[in-house]
Amino acid sequence: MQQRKLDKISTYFLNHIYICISILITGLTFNGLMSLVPIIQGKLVDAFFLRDSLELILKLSVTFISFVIFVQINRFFKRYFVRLLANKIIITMRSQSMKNLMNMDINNINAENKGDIMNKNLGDIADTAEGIRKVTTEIFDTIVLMLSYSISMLIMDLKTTIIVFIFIALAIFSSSILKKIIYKATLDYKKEFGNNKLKTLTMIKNELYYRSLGASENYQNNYENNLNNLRKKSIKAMVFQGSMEPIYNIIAMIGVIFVIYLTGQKVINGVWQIGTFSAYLTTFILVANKASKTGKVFNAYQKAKVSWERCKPFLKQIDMKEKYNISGNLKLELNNVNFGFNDNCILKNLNYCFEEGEIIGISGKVHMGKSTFASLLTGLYDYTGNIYVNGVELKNIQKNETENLIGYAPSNIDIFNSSIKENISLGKNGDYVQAAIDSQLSVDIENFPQKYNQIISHSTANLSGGQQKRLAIARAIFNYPKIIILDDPFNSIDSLMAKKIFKNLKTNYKNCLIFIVCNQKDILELTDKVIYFEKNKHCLENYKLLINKCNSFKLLMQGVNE
Amino acid sequence: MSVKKSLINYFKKHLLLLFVIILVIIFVTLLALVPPQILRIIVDNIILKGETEKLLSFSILYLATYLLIGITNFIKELVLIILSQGISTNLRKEMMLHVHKMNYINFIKNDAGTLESYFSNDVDAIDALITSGVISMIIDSLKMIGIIISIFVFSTMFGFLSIAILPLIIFITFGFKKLMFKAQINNRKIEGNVNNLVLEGLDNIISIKAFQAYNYFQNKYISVLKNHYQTIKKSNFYDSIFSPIMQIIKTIVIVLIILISSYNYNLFGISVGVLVSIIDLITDLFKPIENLGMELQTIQKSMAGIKRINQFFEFEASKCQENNVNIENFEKNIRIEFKNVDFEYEKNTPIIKNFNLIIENNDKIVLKGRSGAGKSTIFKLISGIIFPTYGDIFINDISTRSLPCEIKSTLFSILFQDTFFSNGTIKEELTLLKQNIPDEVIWNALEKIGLKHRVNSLDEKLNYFDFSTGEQVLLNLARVIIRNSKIILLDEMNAKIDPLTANKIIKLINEFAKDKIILSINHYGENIKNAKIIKL
Repeated sequence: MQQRKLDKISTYFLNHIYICISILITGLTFNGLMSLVPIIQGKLVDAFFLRDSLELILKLSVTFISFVIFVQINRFFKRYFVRLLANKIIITMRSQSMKNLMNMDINNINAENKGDIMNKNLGDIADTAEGIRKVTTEIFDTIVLMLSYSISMLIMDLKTTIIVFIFIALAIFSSSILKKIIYKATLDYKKEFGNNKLKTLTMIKNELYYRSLGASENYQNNYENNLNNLRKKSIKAMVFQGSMEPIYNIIAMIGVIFVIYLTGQKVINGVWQIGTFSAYLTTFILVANKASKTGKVFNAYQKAKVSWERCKPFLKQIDMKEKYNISGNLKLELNNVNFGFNDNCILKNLNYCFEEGEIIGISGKVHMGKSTFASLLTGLYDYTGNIYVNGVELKNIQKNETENLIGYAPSNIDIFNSSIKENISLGKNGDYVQAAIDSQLSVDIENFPQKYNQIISHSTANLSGGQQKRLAIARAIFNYPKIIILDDPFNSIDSLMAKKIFKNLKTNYKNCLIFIVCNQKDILELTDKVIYFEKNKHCLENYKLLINKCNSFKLLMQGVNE
Repeated sequence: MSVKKSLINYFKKHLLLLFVIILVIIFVTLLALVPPQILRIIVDNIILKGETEKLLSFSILYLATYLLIGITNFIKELVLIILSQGISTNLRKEMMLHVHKMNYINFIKNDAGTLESYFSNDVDAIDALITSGVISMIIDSLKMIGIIISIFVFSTMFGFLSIAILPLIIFITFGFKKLMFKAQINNRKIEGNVNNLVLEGLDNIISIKAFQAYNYFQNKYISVLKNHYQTIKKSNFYDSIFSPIMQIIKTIVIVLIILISSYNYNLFGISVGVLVSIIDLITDLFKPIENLGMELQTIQKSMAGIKRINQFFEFEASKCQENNVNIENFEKNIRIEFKNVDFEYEKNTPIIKNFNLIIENNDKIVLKGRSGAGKSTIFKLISGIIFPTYGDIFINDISTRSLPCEIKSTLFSILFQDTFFSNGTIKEELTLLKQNIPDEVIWNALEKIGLKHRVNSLDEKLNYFDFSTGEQVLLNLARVIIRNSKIILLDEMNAKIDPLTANKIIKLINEFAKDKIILSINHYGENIKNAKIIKL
């Protein structure tokens, strides 16, 4: 089946067409028949008034109750299906938006827009689905219901109904006139609310600065003014949003004079029974109530629209990915590569070539670009120039699909909320035990009560610093990826263990190209080559040659700061 | 301070509002009972007796009561909004006041976002408590009582009947609401899992991408989503079935009343008007009960908010003493004295121990030492962010614990390592909202730091991201120049500042700080004229 586009709202209705049809049927049945309830109830009152036989009244009662039960069953299904639809929509939207999220360019994700991305993926999707539910509900419960009541009123008494509808229309009209004002007041309020939230956050962040400079009092006064402003705006918005209903209701209810006066006379003149009168009156009051609430339909629609526009970009179709197979002996070439996160550590003119089986140390002082270089090799960041893996541009490979090309241990490990096993393998098949043994993590896993099934947590990592480092190594070397990049892996690991790990890497990962960011002398000595970063300079040499050639590297290795 | 105290304070100041609320409660409750009475009169005494001439006036009366109901309801809503906004504004003010008093360690332990969430989420919960919690609950309870009394007025028998069925309705309502609430809590928990997973995905995106673990993570997410769907189904069921069941029960009750009335017309002597009105009243009875269930939930939720805000108020305040200190004490020479100062964040791990130092006569002091030696601790101690665990620090013989805000604002200038801004105008940012600073002084400072040409007006917003890191530091330096205070503290220079800007900063400081005390950290020191070096 042709996949429908998920960034079109109609898709969601078409994908769940059976549910939609069920909603339509049950909704129309319920709302259509609802108008008969007051009429049947009126007949019962009439039967009482006319002193009909108990038997007849009993019959009528049973009919009435069965009718109400039938109507209410329809109502139940309508309510249930509407909610079901909303929840199905949420699932589809969320899983699609997660795909989009994971497909996002890393260069576009930063600390500042994380919150916004989260909101779009969670809040806005939930709001959209909730909006769809509300709009659907309101369409049935307000518009269809009002129509069905109106029809039954028209049938009962044409003239009176036309007169009273003037006031109903007036109520609806006045609520739609106020719509703009409401919209503006709400917008004003939301803006001020956002301002205030930012202000609160800024004040908390800056409090210690203010305090040491004796400015806290000034800012408190400023904050209080801001709060008073917010209060005024929010009162205005809330009054327009929520409290106007009684006023519309009054307008709609003006017609009650005509209802009682005109139809009351009908009863007096014997044209109507008293039950019909009460049925007509009840129906009118219901319509008046509904009329004062029509604003809700607009509101629900507006709100849903805003959220939908916000989350829509995350519901785009994702293009099919190409699969790259890297075969033969690995060769990694850097051709005139330039790269930098910010103005501080820019890497310029990188022209190097690495081959399978090499272990490359990456060394340099703080802020010289070691980690930056390591992250560059993942191919996820924007660089200029070319990085070729066996002649194929790395950027393209990483945008598409490949198997087991890169293992990367960043300086701070990303931990997933799941077992150690899954944290090593990331759901792929392979020998995770071997990876744990080679990274020396196995030593600690033996002590975990659940061994490899021990659950670890994303936020408050229940692993020590050294364990985290080794887990990162285990993940990076799992399944023998072609390129292994370890960013500062031996930090918080004692040197004996570090050497053991290094030895394992050297013996068991001969077919891999390994990069290790580190400044430990005893490790760098064992590498094949070292790439050394200085301010605006870098070079690739064998350790011994580098020591002789480069004085600052020598000093660094001797542990002397300039 | 606590939520309770804050509420009491608010009501003390706004007695009139309290009075209006009580009045509104009474009116709303009583007025709701009037229409059925009028309707009974219209049916029994006018229509059935054929008194056409009275019909118009009574239908106007009927409308008039609706008018009154509408107006009182409007006033009710209005008053509730004013009240809830007043209370939450007041609460936020007091919470921010507490922030100003909070101990240094609380800012380290809690990030700004966490502290802010008390201001938004939890105060909002209290808002809801007022708008749709307590007062609506009082009104609905009273309405319920009023309706039953009205039924009694019409017919004792149906009065008793309604009292008899009341527990059943309440039982069903509350039972359902309890189930719904439980399902909702479950939902929210799983909703939390969904949130966390998105955050996890965002945090770990580099690894997901580097290892191409898309399927792994997507599957993980989908399984949580499915789980969420299953739990939500349950609460959907309760949500959908509750109201239809209530409607069916209502119908049964109405039919029962008609049947009983028709069983023996003469025995109960129920007129049509009475019957119609009782049916009306029974219909009305269900609404407040349903509302009560909802209000109870709101109150339950708000209680959690109140508890959290009380916890917020329990964040320890720093131990300073409010004292009246004469500002003239600080107008001439300044003398800072550290007397046997110990400081520790945690027990038995002192950062500095038995530190003694006297700074006077416009001394220029440079603190040197490895990181963690306590250089910035000394800064924090002088500026009163933290206080010594043992010993004391005096500025002109006044302990830093008793230095009021007002004096601090004239006594210190600090150039921090990191810049800070508060989304204000240029004037606001540079004066830190201090009043009475002439515009020339500000322009002068801007000229000195060489950024005058970048500013059109002092009242325009300072978009700090338009300035480079170095320029941002210069703007912070302009604050120091404007304050022109007796003591200047210079934090370690940020590694991001280029050497050119650094030289400019030091030159400016040397220029205008001849007659001031300077205390600085590390490499500023080499270039500050006549500086004494203290190794830590």
